[in-house]
Amino acid sequence: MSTSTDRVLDIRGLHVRFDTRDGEVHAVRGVDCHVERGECLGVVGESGSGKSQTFLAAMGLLAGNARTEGVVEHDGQNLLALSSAALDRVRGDRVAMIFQNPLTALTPHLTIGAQMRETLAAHRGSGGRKAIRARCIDWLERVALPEPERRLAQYPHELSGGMRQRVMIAQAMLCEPDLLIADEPTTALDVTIQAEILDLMDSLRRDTGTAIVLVTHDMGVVARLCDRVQVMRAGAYVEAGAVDAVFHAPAHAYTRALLDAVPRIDGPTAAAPVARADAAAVLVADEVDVRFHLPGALFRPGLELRAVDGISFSLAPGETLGVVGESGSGKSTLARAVLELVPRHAGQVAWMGRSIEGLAPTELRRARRDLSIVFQDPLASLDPSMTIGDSIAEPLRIAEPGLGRAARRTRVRETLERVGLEAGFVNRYPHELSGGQNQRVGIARAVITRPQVLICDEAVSALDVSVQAQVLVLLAELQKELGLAMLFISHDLSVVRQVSHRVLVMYLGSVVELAPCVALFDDPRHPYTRALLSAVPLPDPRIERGRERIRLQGSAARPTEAAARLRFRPSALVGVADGEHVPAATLDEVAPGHFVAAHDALERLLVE
Amino acid sequence: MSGVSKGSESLQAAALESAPVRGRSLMDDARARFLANRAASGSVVVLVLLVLAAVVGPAFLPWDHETPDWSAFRSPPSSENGHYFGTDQNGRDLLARTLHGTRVSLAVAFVATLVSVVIGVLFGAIAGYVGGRLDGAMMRFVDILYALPYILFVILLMVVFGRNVYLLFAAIGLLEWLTMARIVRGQTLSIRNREYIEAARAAGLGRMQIILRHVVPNLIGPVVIYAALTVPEIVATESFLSYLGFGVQEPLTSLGTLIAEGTDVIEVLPWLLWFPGATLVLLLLSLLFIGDGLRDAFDPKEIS
Repeated sequence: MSTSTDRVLDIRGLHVRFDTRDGEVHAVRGVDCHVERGECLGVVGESGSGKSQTFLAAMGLLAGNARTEGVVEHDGQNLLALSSAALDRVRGDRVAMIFQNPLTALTPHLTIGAQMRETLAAHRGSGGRKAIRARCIDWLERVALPEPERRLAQYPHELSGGMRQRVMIAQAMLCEPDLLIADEPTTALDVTIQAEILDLMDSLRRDTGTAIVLVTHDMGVVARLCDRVQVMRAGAYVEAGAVDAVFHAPAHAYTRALLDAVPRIDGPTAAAPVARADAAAVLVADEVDVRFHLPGALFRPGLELRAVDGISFSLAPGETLGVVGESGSGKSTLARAVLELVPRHAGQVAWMGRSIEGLAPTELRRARRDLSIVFQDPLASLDPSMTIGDSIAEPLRIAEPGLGRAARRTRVRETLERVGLEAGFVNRYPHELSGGQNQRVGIARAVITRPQVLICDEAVSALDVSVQAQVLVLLAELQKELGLAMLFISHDLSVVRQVSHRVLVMYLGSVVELAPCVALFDDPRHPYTRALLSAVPLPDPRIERGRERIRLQGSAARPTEAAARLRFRPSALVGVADGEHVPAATLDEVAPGHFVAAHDALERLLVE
Repeated sequence: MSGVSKGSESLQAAALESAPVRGRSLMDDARARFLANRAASGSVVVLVLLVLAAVVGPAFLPWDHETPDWSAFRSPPSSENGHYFGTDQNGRDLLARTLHGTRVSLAVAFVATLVSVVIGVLFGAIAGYVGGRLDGAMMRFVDILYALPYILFVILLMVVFGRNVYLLFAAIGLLEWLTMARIVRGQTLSIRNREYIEAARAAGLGRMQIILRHVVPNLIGPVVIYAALTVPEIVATESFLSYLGFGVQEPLTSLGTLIAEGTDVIEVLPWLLWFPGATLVLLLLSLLFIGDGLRDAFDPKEIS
């Protein structure tokens, strides 16, 4: 056991209580925890477990209605007992914090340089303009931000999400703190960016000896980065120990259940589709093309963004087609285009073997009963002023207008019970329900018309792991019962692997790879697919430590530029002017049903 | 570690999903915050008393608003002759006239507000939801009406159609809806991009159905607030127009007319100004406090 002098933070018997109108909420219930110099401690738990509140309490950043009790010791001082002026001297200097959303955590009207100087001025006084500037540039270099000198004069909105998180880290590290508290630092980022940020945090910890507390819900992230882990549930730690021990021999049932619920990229795949291969496709997209016009300014012409650039696929009854891609790849736009919710620029869509081209608006609305969609945000996708029952009944009113009031009510109750909610929920409002319950309501609304196609747009992404597992089970059951064909859109490759029969990988509006699920995950051909797969963290510390990542040059940050569009074919970039349209790469069938977009050799695309 | 000994629990039980969430609607929250606001809830009491007095009060008075008391011309406020607010030059009881004037002013305010809410909400919601060229055309129309001098517009109507209380109601309401339409359009623009609107489109609802079922009900917060702030504005406008001589006609009266008459004789019969003036101030203050209270109660930033 270490002596207490090695500890940069020592939390003993911490309680956090909130006074709310519904009475007292006991968010953290007597937590003991310590962080040693230079180590990385992972704190995992589901939402509402109190994992963030523990460390917000330590930093004195709790909301006004909170009361704390216990000791948080740093450098011989009890942080909970300090005056706010004394706490200000510790915060940002000895203990720093980075947050989940790098856009809202940076002040929009201040340049990067001004924000970094502010931190230094608060803790190091005036050290001369030149010295301060040099220190800022030095740290921006250390977090591997390209062109650091130019960045100092830029505003947060000019940087991409990953770059902003690098700036946050540089700012937090400016005073070389003893402890860096990272609250879900990569949750809002794409998987490849997440991998880069995690690598960066790991190397900074090795170089500077700054200890890191990583608060996260993602077991894979913990396995990649942490030495020790604490599993938190309902305000208390249920298990603590070295990562290897906790991951490979979990002592507590909750930890075991949590680990079992995490979908793994090396886990099992969906069973073979129940569908007859000869059955006619229920949904066909042919060269679908969606463009958005980005308005220009007085002397700057507008731009045209090809959100979906000629995508074709077909969906057989009972089949699940997974669609993966990073943010901005156009996967949600594709879903809305095949549902005729955004206008198509070109291309054809057929529902149930019938082209929707030239259908009268009323006919089109009637045809919608065969297709439904489940959205990402369970609360935002339900009308807050309507009861659950009314929301679920709505598609039925359109699809079967002849149905009487009583018959409709019966159907709503049946459907509610089918998705695992009590029939008594009909009179409740969405905000009275939890996220998982609301998502079940969203699913009930989608299946009440007994559709043949269900489009899930990030349907489980906003849910906790355990709830996510239950919702996936429900979707699989419904698919079997109703013979649903599903278009399953997600940024989470592990989930897609678990549910899909075929997978389509998208990059900036076009297909880079389309293959049967097993082939795609076991034998990825396209460099982008391989880079994505290698970036997904596995909830297994032994495998995770030895894994090599594939890092590709370039980024998708400026989707209208030719360099981004031709990221995997730099050889074709010669002679292409900026803004000029580049046709999507052709697809080659490398194996039966396995299509890969044309690309240059992987070696040419790697980061040196 | 406190929880380690709990033994094996299934993850299903562990999921917080099964925890019942106690229902508390947005309305409940808003009501609680409104009642906690003393100025606002006190104003509701004052307003209710004023409305009650204006509606049923005259029935308990021995005088009405138009019949002179031949024994008491120009009587100062007195409890001996029963004219608690005094009488005017024609011997009419000022208390009866003030109550009557309050009734007329409130009626103008509520009718005009209702007209402005109905037109403004529908106009704004359609413009905001449909968008594009229709939105542009509808909002330019609003801009043009905005650009016309308001008072001039009312005066022109009065000149053309003569002095008429009902016309006054309509004229004020027809002008007040402009701001409401703008506010509603702005709110609609943010609502129309919400996922539940997309869900409704995916379910096959038509435009008008979506506007009436999903857009308008979710506008209630801002509309209630703005309507509550419109009422005092209209009371003040009506008083102003009546003061100018364009309002209600004798022997009918309104608070504005009473104040205008009182102003002429402020040196000899000051009570003719003080009582109606104080009533108007009380009415406007309580309406403004209620509007402010509603705005705070419905403000999402206040919801913790």
